[in-house]
Amino acid sequence: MLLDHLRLAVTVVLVASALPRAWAQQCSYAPTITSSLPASATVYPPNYCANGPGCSCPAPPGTWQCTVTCSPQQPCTLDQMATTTLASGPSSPQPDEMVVYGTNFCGTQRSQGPVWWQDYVQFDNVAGYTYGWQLVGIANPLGNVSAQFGNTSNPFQISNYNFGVDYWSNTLGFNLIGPVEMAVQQDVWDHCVGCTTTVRRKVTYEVVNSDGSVAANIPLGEVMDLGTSGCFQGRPSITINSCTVAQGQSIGNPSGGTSNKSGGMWATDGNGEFTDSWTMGADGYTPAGCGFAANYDHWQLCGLTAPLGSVNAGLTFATLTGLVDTNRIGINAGSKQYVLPVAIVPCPPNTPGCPGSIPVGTVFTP
Amino acid sequence: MKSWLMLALLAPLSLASAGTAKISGTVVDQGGTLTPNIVVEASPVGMAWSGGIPQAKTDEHGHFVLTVVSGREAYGTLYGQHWLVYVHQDDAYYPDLSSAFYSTPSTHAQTVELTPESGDAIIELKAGPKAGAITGHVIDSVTGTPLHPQFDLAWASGDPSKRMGIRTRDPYRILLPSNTEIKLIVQCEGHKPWIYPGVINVGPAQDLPLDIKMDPEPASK
Repeated sequence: MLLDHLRLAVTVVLVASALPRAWAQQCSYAPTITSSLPASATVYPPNYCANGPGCSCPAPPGTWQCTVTCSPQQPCTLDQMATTTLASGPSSPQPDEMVVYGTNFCGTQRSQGPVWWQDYVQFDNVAGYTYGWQLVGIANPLGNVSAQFGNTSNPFQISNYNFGVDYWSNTLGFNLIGPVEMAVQQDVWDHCVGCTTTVRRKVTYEVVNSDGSVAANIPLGEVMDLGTSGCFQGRPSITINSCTVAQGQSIGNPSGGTSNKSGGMWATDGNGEFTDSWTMGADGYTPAGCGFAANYDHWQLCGLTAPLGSVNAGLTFATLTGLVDTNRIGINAGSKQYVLPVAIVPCPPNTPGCPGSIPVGTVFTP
Repeated sequence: MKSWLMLALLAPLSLASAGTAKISGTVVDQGGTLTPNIVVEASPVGMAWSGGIPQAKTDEHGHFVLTVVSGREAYGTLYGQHWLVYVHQDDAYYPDLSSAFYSTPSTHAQTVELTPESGDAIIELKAGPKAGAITGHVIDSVTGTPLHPQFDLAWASGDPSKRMGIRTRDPYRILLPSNTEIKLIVQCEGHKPWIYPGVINVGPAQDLPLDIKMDPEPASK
């Protein structure tokens, strides 16, 4: 059967919170190549779900019963997507499906685009079948495509991959719905635990998706770069939430200096909100009022189910900048810097920068 | 100074994994009854921080498990050694007890010490005491427009560590330590400060309705 003449359907299924158990049980075998002739290779593709006519998917350690013959290798062609909008995150309706129609699907396949899904690709070369792909994350393991929520034409390609060579298809675009900004809901300052002078600032944000809905129960991390400390004791190691580094492990500071610690991933609650606490954490830093700059704090949606330490990198939906000193914490919004606490309460009339907290509703974007 | 109840029990268990440890236990209410579906929080003591504070919700048996950052650096320094553990659920009048503003002599927060040698910690945590709250709207006295001002709160005792500032949504609801005299100043851009006459003192789980009208401030010349 010549694959060139087959019209294949590939279904992309967005499953945010769990791996496809049923499929994984059926099709988690390692690929086996039975012929190595470059011009005519017979391969058993990874995660191949042999549900086509005449095929079966035996229980491990059984052998594959179907083969895919590719002769010669060439790119597949993507014609259209039946659905071109995907929502990311557990709060989205599940599952979202995207059917990709094309021709010449052949050999081991992998995709590239702003989603991490090629490990969960299933395909068959039998016309009339529905082919399921699981969208399990948003990182891009191939490293050459940027992802953007709200972009209506995020690029997506499929490769016929064989013997170390990619044969990339044309590119189709689709809309990826996901978090694009966060808005201040509450801004609190007090003193850190056990502190009498050093302050802490806790800002609660609502994370908003590109379609205007709130991004409830999504996994979060931050990528943070901290400046040089003006304290005699140097800059403390700071614990931050991370998509890629496991809780308790060390994270290098992008611009150098003291490394930080991962507090693991964080998450929005059922209302799409989370609270970000900033503090130096202890009294005793000198001279009084010393501290360091937060050069950037990228808040990101983490890859959804990819294992930590692998390709769980997230997509930035909001960036904060500011300063963390012993006696004050500043957060920049637009051209203003909101610093808490202010020196005098109540503020003298028309004092610039008073009362110091960020107005409710202030929006932060990437 | 804070009056923390010290660690109840340390179990000689191994650390959960490199760089982390577990704090688990049960939560009981003032009457000693196990408390399900309530949020327990662990705030780091002496640790610089950015991001979310570790939280867990008790199960139907009042049991919780928190995983926190704790371990020993390659060069020997311990980190994540001390944590303050407490019940924190604003809608149930349990305030953030990691804030000195809410800490009182009767506060049921526990400091937990974790070391690689002592391992994970198991505690019994008592919820409370409950805070009170002020609730209401803040509007412009001329236009009636809703405002989102900053509330500056301080203990009337004058302890400088017992201060807090908060700007929040409308209608506002702000917890106050119960049976404690609190001074309040409300500030908003373009408006004259509003100062509560006297002190506020609310009982546990008591709401004090407080609608505020703020006068516009004359524009600066």
